[in-house]
Amino acid sequence: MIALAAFSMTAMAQIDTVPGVLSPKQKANIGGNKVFDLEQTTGAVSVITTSTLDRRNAKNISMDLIGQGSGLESLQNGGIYAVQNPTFYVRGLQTLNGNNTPLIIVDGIEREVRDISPEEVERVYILKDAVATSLYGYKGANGVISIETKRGKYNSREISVSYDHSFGNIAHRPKFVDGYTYGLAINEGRANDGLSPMYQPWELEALKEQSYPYLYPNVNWVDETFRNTSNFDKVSFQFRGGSEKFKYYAVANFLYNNGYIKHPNENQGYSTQDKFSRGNIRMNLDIDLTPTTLVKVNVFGSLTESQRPGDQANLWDMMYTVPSAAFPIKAENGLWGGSATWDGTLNPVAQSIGAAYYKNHARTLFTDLTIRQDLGMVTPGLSAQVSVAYDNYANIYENHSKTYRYQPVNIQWPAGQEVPTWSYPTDADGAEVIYGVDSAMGTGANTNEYDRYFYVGGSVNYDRTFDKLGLYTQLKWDYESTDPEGINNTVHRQNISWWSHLNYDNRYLLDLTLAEMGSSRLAPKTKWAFSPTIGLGWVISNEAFWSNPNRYLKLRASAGKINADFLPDDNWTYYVQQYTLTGGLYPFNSAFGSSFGTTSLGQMATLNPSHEQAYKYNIGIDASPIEGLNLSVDLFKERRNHIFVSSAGKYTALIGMTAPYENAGVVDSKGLEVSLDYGRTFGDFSFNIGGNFSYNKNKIVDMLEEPRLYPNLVQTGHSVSQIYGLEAIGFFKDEADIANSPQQLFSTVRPGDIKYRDINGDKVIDSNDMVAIGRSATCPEIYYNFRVGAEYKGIGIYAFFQGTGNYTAVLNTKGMYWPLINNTNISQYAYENSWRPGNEENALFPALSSQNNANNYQTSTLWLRNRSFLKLRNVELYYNVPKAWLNSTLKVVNGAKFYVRLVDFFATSNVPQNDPECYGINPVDKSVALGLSVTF
Amino acid sequence: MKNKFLLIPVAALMLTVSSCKEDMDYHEYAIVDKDFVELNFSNVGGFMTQLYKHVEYDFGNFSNGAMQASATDESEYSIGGNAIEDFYNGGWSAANPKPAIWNNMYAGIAEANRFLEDFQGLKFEELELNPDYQKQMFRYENYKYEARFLRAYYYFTLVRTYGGVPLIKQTMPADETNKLSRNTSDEVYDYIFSELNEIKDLIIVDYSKLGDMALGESETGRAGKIAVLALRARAALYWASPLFNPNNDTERYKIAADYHKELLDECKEQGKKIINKYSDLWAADNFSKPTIAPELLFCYRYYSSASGDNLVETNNYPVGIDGGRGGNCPTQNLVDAYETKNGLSIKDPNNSQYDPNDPYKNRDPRLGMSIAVNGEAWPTYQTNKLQTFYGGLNAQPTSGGTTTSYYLKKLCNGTINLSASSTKKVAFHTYLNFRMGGAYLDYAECLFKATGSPTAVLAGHEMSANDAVFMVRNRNGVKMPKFPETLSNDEWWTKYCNERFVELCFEGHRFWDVRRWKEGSKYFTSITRTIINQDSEGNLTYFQQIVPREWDEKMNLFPIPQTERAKNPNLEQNPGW
Repeated sequence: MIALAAFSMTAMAQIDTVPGVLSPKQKANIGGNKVFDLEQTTGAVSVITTSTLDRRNAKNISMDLIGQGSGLESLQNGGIYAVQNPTFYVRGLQTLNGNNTPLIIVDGIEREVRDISPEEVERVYILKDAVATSLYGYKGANGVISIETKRGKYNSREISVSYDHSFGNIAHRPKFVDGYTYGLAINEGRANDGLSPMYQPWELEALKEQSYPYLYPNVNWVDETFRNTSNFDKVSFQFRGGSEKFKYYAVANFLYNNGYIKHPNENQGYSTQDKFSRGNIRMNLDIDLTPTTLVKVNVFGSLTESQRPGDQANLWDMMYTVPSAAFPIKAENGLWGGSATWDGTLNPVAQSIGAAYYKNHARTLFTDLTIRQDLGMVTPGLSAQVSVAYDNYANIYENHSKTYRYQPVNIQWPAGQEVPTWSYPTDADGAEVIYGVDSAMGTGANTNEYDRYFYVGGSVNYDRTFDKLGLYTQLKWDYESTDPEGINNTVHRQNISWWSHLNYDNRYLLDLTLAEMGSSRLAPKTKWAFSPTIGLGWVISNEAFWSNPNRYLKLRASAGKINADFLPDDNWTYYVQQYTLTGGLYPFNSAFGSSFGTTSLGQMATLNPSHEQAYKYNIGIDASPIEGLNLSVDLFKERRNHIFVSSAGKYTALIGMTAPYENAGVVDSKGLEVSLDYGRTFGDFSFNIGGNFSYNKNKIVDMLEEPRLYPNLVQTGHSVSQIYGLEAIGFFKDEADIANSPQQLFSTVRPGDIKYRDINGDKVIDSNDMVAIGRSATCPEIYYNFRVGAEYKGIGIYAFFQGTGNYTAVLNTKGMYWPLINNTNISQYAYENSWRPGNEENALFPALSSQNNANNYQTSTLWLRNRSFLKLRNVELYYNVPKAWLNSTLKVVNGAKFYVRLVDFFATSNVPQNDPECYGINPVDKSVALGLSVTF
Repeated sequence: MKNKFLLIPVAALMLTVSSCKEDMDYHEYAIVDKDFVELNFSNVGGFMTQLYKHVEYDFGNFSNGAMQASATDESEYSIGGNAIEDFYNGGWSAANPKPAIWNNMYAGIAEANRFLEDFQGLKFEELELNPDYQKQMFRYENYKYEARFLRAYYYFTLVRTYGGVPLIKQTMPADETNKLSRNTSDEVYDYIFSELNEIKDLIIVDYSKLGDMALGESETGRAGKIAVLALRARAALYWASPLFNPNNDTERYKIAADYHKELLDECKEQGKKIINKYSDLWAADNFSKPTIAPELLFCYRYYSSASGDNLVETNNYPVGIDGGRGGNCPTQNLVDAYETKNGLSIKDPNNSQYDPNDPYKNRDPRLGMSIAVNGEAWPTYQTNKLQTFYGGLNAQPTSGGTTTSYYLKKLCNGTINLSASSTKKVAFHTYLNFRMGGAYLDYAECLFKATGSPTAVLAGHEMSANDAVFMVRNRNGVKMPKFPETLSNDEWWTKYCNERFVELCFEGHRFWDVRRWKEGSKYFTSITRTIINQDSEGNLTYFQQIVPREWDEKMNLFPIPQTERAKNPNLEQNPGW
């Protein structure tokens, strides 16, 4: 099923034509109006270039970034194609209240990147320390992912066309038990619960033999609903070039994904397939209006259309809910199947065929314009510039869903009866009842999401070299406002920053930023904050005593204070005493009614509010000890303080209302990053290897934690997303074992239930025995990647691996690891590994329960797994058609590349039966792509 | 000039800068702050809703279905594992402190303080032209007295539970509350009395007689003068009781007796009286019906929907009844407390009216009204008879089946049918916080303790303790004989306690009465269950089973929650915890 390849001829695919990502000459854009090289910067910046970008056939740049960079933790999420997007953290978790998301910007503006295609991206910078994030006001504290799109080139012309086709595959297709095994399992669970069996022996026989498939069915819902592969096509046209006073870059891109629905074409006139398509166009222009005046215009627009089966039903959720024996796909009378326990609206085949479809149309427009005027006529080195940006996003839904009719069946098969008797449900008058309605398709359509964004900024720059001293300084003012749908989320921010970069003799470097920032989110009189940052650099290899001019060594250090305007729960009125006007009534009246509602005290006002502050420290070494090898090491430390936290743990109930937020939270984090990049060329053979390793660790220093009754419950001192749970010490063997063990208070226990350790020694097991178990399930502490690339006479291979460590999974997926309870499905894996007499030794999971079992389904070590993994993110085999041959034969063609890619094809994992990153109900894909690209 | 390209954007920039300054103060939300609340009468009046809702009541909400009664010898909760068991199984501690009263009452106090401080003297000028302005202002001016009454009630609830607690009389910053230490119980009672004394002649006397100021339906659910006097009288009785009166200062009982006389005089003035039918006290229309309402002095009205609720029925209907799951099952101790009609205890060997083989015959009529026994049709709508014998439809071993062979009728509205097809699933319920029966019994206790005699009449009063008890026993439909004048003080006290147990069962008294008398070791060390066996011929045999319960003198007061003391070390713990 692997297919084709491409020819491309762009310069961008060559592994050694751009400076290595760690090369001192690599650009390091921290957001100023001048971009210095890595050699010149004193900040911690990781650069991702086209050498590793666009090699995953990703739908957008964020999916493309998965695994890449140094100090960036990108975590893949599952789900249907249209909504899959990763989660990012920079240098791990650094604060409380879930405000750990880094800032993502595109060409200097905060922008949603879900529709930015990888093709149009030139570089991505991960901005990590104080110097690198100093120009982003209140928004940079969690680090910045800065995306820079491609620009034109003077006096050139280049057109490239590429086409990819890929085949997706559900990476872990869940395996649920067949109908007969379900019958055994539910009977076993009910027996454990002291309930009568659901199926009598002769009914189990019917399930096994499938003698009454309409009454005792066996449906493999996964296979009946989903096919094995999805398809993906992408075509891209890029135009890049310019004349003497003008340069341009333009891209037109179209992609189309056709999902996994097995029977999408059962209806006249429409498909019910999961589909996603997008067209996007970008035009980046640089126009020299006069010899001293530059205008830059960037315009990006995209339209997406995503379609899902009716009501956007979560079909995968149904897989984990509806067992094989629940009901047939269709009842004997031809209506869709359903039952009293599992309603026909849970019939995934019916939902994927009979419920019509639902569409979302999203449109994005990103526009910005910059005018830069050289003011050398006033004084040499002086310039000024103004930028304006206007972005817009809207989603319009179109709900064409319909409902369908389905038919539950009543079955009686008492002992001694030869065959089952069955009937359709009847109403009080004895008439047969059909459930559901065969409705017409809906026609609802409206805008349900929109986001407007406005930016304006201006700056005065001074850039001049005096003998050995290079001086660059800029004074900049920014204003931005965002206005999404809903209330209490319009934000206005301003930022005034003065950044200076000094370079003495290319040996001594200084970055100094003084910034003052304001945010409408913060309380009156606390809206403005000051942020100083300083960075120092020493390029030792430029010293006179340095013997080898080809070897490079630089030390750098930075420190600074970055502010944040994060608010807990997005509660904007924390600074006033709040009241609540909702609640029931008190029946004062003589007829037990009232003309009054409730007025009660809400949250207490925060006295003397301030805002969250990050003190960031970083030291780094960049070196090139041997030819072709670049190395970079960073060590960082950060203290986040003044974090808004609830003071409920501090004040007694005597305050009589919800405790105020106070700026009392403190989190320390620290870590290191090591990056290596080695590439050489020997004649026709070239290779490049590289990798990044990052480690982060955080600790809550203060969270105004309530005084805990037992030390094991204390969270302060642990990391931000530490998991707490019980320590499982096996399963109860028998009643005697239960009698001899401390009482477990969650629910009545029986043999085969999980036995916990009495952590606090109070002779009973309850939530006071919770203790820190495992690590974080939110963000790994160790994140690493490495890549290998080699090319010989145009034939090349590129492989990219990524892994994590110190990362924990909690197996709580219903149906898969937590079977049967709440009327859910049971996986083959759970069935085989449950405790039962005869399987005491090998059991991984407790005895089956059909009813909610509070004892077993606590968070405990039994459900934790080490989530460390190593994934082969992508591997590419390609052939670049020799230029000489192209030039001599196809004169117009400058380059051609054919390639085959495997994406997310292999992973090591301790998470059974599932992907280590996405082990919930939402599947992830692996895919095989064939592509070609041609450059003219 | 090349610079012209800059002029336009620079000018635009200047304009934007100036406009952006205001943007920093921009907010699109409506801040529900003081100014917003003050806009109209109904926002401000809404405070009263919230304050009344803090008033105690117990329809099984005390502990997830269990009533406080099940922590006493009144009943046992039939569904195992309920946290109510902590009160008698050793689970109760400063780490498991049952903090609901602590939390709720201080929430109410904070709200009352805030209302009394920040929402006074409002003129609602914008509403002056409304036709009902004067009437609304009249109500608004009364709110402060209602708020002070309720705050005093919260403090009474607290002092009864914890002894002395920190007195917070005005709004206070959070860090100051964290430094407070406990006042003495006398200081708290003093504060309650001084507050109630100040407002008793200021608060509206009768909400159904507002004359010119009447507006819409009369708000009879609000606290009036009688409520103030009733609370003052009850608080005084507690203040005089052994738990809070270690030196046995009988003067306190005299004050309490005087307070009760003032209450009963006012009640008489307003037509309050002991009503005829005991079981009507918890009828759905008890708050309004002219034949019932006169006994109710101040009672919490539970509200869940415009047509009513079934909280107490859901929590107490027998298993085997649609929607029933067992619940707070009256003990044999309580059943035994009901005398026979001749006024003798069933334990009296000379009692000829009592037949152990037909134990419910000839009993105080209140037994039949309060407690469902084997063989009777209950709930009222049912025609099937209860089977509370072991193995019966409504009994053990079915989970939740009664453990004592009895089910609770009191407070329940037996016409409510919880089955899915029922047309009568809900009704109104008004709890019995203060009523005439309780007032007379309280009065009797004050008189007895003040005079040292059941028959003596205290100077300035018109009845003896025994007369006051008889007011309750002489209710039409009860008509139990008066206690003989020949009883010794001890005998009389025993019968008084018994009468109180019977008359006020499941009204939230027993738990506190036994504590304030410091008699837990007498009453709370065990309960008695009855187990009925039925043989194949349908003959019943009754067995009694004594179930021990843990009791310790420290339990007279609740522990201060350990976490509260960790936050504020100035909060001293109660003795023994």
